[in-house]
Order: sequence, then structure tokens, then C-alpha cells
Amino acid sequence: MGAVAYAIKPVVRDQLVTALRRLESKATQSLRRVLVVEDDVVHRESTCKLLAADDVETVPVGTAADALRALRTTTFDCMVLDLSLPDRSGSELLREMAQGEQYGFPPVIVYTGRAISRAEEQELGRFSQSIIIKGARSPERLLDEVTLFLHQVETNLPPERQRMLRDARHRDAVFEGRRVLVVEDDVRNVFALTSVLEPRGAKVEIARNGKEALQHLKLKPGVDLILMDLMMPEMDGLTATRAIRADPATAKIPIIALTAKAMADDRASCLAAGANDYIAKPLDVDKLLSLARVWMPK
Amino acid sequence: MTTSPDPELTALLDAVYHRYHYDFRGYAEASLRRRIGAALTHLRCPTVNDLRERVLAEPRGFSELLRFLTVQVSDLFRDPSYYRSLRERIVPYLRTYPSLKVWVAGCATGEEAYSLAIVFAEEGLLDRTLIYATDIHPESLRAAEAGVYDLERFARFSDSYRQAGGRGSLSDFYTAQYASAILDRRLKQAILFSDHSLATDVAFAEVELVSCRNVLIYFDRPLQDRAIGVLRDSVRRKGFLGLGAKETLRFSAHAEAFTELVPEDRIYQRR
Amino acid sequence: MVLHLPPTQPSHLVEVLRTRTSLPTREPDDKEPIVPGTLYVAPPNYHLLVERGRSFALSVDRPELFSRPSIDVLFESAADAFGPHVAGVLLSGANEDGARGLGHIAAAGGLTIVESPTTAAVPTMPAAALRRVAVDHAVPAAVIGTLLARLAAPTRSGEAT
Repeated sequence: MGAVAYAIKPVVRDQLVTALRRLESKATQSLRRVLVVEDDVVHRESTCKLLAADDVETVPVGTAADALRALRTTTFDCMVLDLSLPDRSGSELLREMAQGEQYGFPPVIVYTGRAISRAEEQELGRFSQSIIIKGARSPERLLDEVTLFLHQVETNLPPERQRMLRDARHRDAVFEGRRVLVVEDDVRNVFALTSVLEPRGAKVEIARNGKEALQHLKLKPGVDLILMDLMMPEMDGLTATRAIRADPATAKIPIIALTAKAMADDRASCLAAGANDYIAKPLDVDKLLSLARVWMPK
Repeated sequence: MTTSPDPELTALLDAVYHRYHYDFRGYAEASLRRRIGAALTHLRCPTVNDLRERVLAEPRGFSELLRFLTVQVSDLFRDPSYYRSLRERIVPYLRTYPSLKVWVAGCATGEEAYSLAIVFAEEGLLDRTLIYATDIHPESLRAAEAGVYDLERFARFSDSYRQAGGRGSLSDFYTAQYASAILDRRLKQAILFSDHSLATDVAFAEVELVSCRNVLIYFDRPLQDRAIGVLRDSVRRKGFLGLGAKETLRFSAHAEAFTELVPEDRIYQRR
Repeated sequence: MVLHLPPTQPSHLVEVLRTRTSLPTREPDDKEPIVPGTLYVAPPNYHLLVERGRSFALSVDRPELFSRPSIDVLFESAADAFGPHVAGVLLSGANEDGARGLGHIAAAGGLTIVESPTTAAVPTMPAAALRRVAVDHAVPAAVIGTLLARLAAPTRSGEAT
């Protein structure tokens, strides 16, 4: 035993031991473990009491540092996180967890007493599975959500969730914090676009026709990329594209036109109107992502 | 006492589907026959076959027929107790979400979507809510988006609003001009009106609440099952589904996917 | 059974009827199968219709003659669904709703009964039907029950009133 230990550098050895211990604990685990991170003692206790069951062990901690320590040594099935901690904010803690492989990253449920802005929700959404605002009915929902995660290990999670977890760890920075204006009147496409762009950190803004798009660009300047449908009520995409190009304030924003499938002249006319590129509908999401990546200003 | 459908009617619906991609083939027959009957009179067609030929020959004839096929009429706060239950029983649960998506499936001329928006505004939730309101009828969607209704209907609307537990006055949410009333811009900003068919499209979003009231009554049992499947796919786990006062999941293949949360107001929760 | 009621109030008609009849009495849900020996009451603010597959259907189409539920809508769909195996009864009422529907029932070979306008609290409705349809029976309301019982006894038939 000693010989083996000698052969390996001490740092690596430590990591190995930790990893083995985690494997071991996972293997022998019939108990489900929930990490409760909450600075307020009363709330912490009431949350633990709420989640207590025969096969559930709750591990209460009051600081981010204690949470990280626990995550390094123990495998958790789920983590309930309050956002206000004495030593750092909840989102800082999540980002730290995402950075290193030395921490286990269980499904995270954010449980918070304060309202959350859209931007915060988006940020938190990349690292956490759900966000619960405390209130009269929140204990019930917390219990529901925790129960869901306790009865699934990561491999049982739906592929999309797994991908979200992985994305959270290896996401790329191209979309981070970027503002994408989607000009589209069909909710199906708006939803498809939102659901691929938002998890990658982009901020999706919606206009339902060309007229709204122009207003939007005037009222909220600084959009990074425009995805423009061509067929819309009030003002169509070609007219809007021409208007955007004509205005020096918006002339440089990249525009990707969403064209109908087999319409060859759609493509020519949208490029003539000033679009940078086009993609055919129905949208191929992966293709759109690569295209958006190409055109996103550096 | 025959259950085999009328061949002329079948031929008309097939033609409409193949030519215009509107699918009424799974609509419940009794109401459909009435609606077609009214269209025959209005379009001065002696028989259903004449109507079919007319519709195939001229798209304008089809737009006219479409108006007859999609005529459901609703009110602001129709069935006040439904809105009261949403307010008292469902809103506290919805408050736990940092942002909300709501889908009004089959919104017709928008009364339902605006009623929900008013409840959400009064409960302080509208700023974090996006309401999708969908229908198959372009004219209805345009009317819905305009949000203009006859002023004479507002006495009744106000009465229902109060019964529904309204916190202020309905007039806080509209501006009256001559004989009409126009609903507030802040309500409209929260609603995305769009085309969607429960008969041919699939789920497009995952939402916390679906309100689909007095739409399923127009579908036959197989189409109801399809539509309820779409609604089920759209409601997130533990999210809510509200139906019309006389609609039920009791006869549906998807009943198992929901629990009855407020049976008297037909509000269900996704398992 | 259809009664014209204000659309925004829940109806207590079912409770009232339950105190006066031993028949099971209810407002049907959409698509509810029709069970013999049951008294069904049209829910307020909906049209009640009968489907050919022996179930109910509801609609929120426009009111007809300012009425939703409308008697015409029910009678016409019942005539379509049941043909000669339906009986329509029209009682006292303040508008002409029901007259056209009763005509449909007569044309389909069904049984038509109207309360005599002379005994009706509000004669407009039965009078309109009599002007329009050669009904099978026009009798005082008090007699209709026994008349129906006698007519229903030998044969079994779907009924909508």
C-alpha cells in the first residue's frame, strides 16, 4: 500500500482518494442526500424538516465555503440553495461549482425569498434546474421538485437536462450576455429560437413584425444580432431589413433572414435587401446556432 | 340513429383540408352541421355540394365559410368562479416561479386572454408573465390583438369581473371611446397572439398554466384526445390546466396525466 | 330540458327539480353519454345539442333569438340524431324560441306537444309554435305528464324535452 502511495505525486494521490471515496459512497448509497445551503438558521431547519424522510439525509450548511467543502467530499442527489449567503452570492457559488471538476454538481434548486429579474433568472437557469420563490405555496413546490430529483440519478435525467448540465460546465462564450432580436410572428419559431439561445446565455428579445422591430431598435439600442422572418403582418422582413440598413445607428447589426423552405428568390431578395445570411424554415436548430455563431460580432 | 357521417359533409371537409390546410374533419358533428347550415344560408348555397364547389373555386368563399366554422363567442370573465379559483387557489402556487408562461389555447377574439392578463396584473404577476394566445382564425386573432369591444358589453363584463374577485374597477383596464372600449396597452404587451391549431400542430412551449376553455367541446372524441395530448405536453410538471365549465378529462385517454385540483371549476394539475 | 336563464349566474334549476322528481337529474358534461331515465338540464350560457352517437355536445356559438341555451338548437339536433324517436314539448315562454325546432321534430316524424297558450303563464312561445307547426297535442301543462307517460309506455324511445 505504502509503495503504491509513494509512486504517485501527493497531489494526485489526494485527488484519487477523494474520487475513490466519492465512488464508494455513491455505490453504497441507499440513502438520498440533500445539501441545504441557507444562512438563516430558522429557515435552514424548517427546510430540513420539510424534506426529512426515512431514506433522505439532509446536510445543512450556512456558508458557500461549507457548501463547497461538502460537495468536494460527498455525493449529493440534490442541492437546495438560498441566494443570499454571507461569504458570496448564490450565483458566484454556482459558477465556482461549475468551474472545477473537483466538485460534484448535483441538480440545484434555487430557493429564494426575493424576486428575480429576467437576467438573473437566465443566469441562474444555466446552473440550476429550477427556481422557487418563497411564499405561501413554496414548501409544497420545493418538496415536489426535490422528490423529482431524488428519484433520478443523472443518467436518468432527460437528455435535455443532461445536456444543460454539461452545457453549464463547458458552455462557450459566444452567446454569453448577447442580445438577439427575434423578429417573428409565429410562436413556434419564437419558442424554438428562445429555447436554444437562452440556455447558452443569450438574451432573446421579441418583435412581432418589422414595425415593432424598428421601434425596438430605437428604444433599446445595442442589439447584437437580428433574426428576421420575411412574412409578417404590418411590415414584412424585407422592408424592415432595408430600413435597418438605411439607419446609420443600426446599419451594422448582422441580420439573418428566416426564409420559407423552397423559395430561391426569397434568398436573393433578402440578401439584396441587406441581410447578411439566411436560413430556411422549418428551422434546423444546430445549423442556426452555427450560423449565429458565425455572424455574432466578436 | 345512424352514426355514419354525412358523405356530402365529409367531402366538404376533405376539400377544405386539402385545399386550405384547415382541418375540421375531427369536429363534433352536431355543432358542425349547424354552422355549415348557417353558412349555406348566408352564402346562398342550396346544398353542401354547392358550398364545396364554391369554396374550391374561390378563396373568398372559403374565408366566409371559415368565419362560420370558428364562431365561438366568449366574454371577459365568462364563468367568474373559474377566475376566482385561479386567483385564490392557483396564483399562490404560480408566485413561486420567477417567470411565467401561460397559454390560452383557442383564444378566439381574445376575451379569455385579457381576463387572465387582468388577474395577473392585479396579482402583481403580469410583469413576469408571457401569455401565448393562439387560434386558427386569422380574423379573430386580428380582433383579439386590437382588443376593442362593444361598450355595451361592459356592464356585464364589470359584473362578472366583480364576481371573479376583481380588486378594483374593470375600468382601470380600458378606455371607453364612443360606443367601444379599448383594453390597456400594458395588458396587450404581455400577450403574444399567434396562429396555432390543436388539430394539426404540436406543443410549442412548456408553460405553467394552460387555459383552454370551450374549445374541446367542438371536437369529437378522437380529436379531443389529440388536443388534450398537446395540452398535456405543454404543461410543465405540477403545472395547471383549466377547461370550460362543462368540459372534462373524464372521457379522455390522458386523464391519468392530471389530478383534479378544483373539480367545480375544472382546474387540473399535471402529475 | 332547456330553460332560458341569465348567462352569468350559476343555475339552481337542478336542485329545484331534484326536490320534485325521483328521476336522476343533472347538467350534462360535454360528450356525456345519454342514459335512459335521466332528466338532463341544459347548463346556463351553453347550447345543448344531441349527437348521433347518443351523447350530448355543448357549444358556445352565438345565442339564437337572444337565448343560449336555445330550444331550437336542442330540438333541431335531436331531430337530426333521433329522427322519429324523439318527442319535443314546448311550454310557456316569452319569445319564439322552440317553434322552428319543433317544426324540425315534426318533419323528422317525431312527436310534438305544446302547452295550450290559454293556460300558459306567458303564451308567446307556445302560440308561435302553433302558428308554425301542426302539433300532435296542444294541452294544458297539468296534463302533459300523464300524456307523456301514456305515450311512452308501449314503445321505448329517446326523449328530449
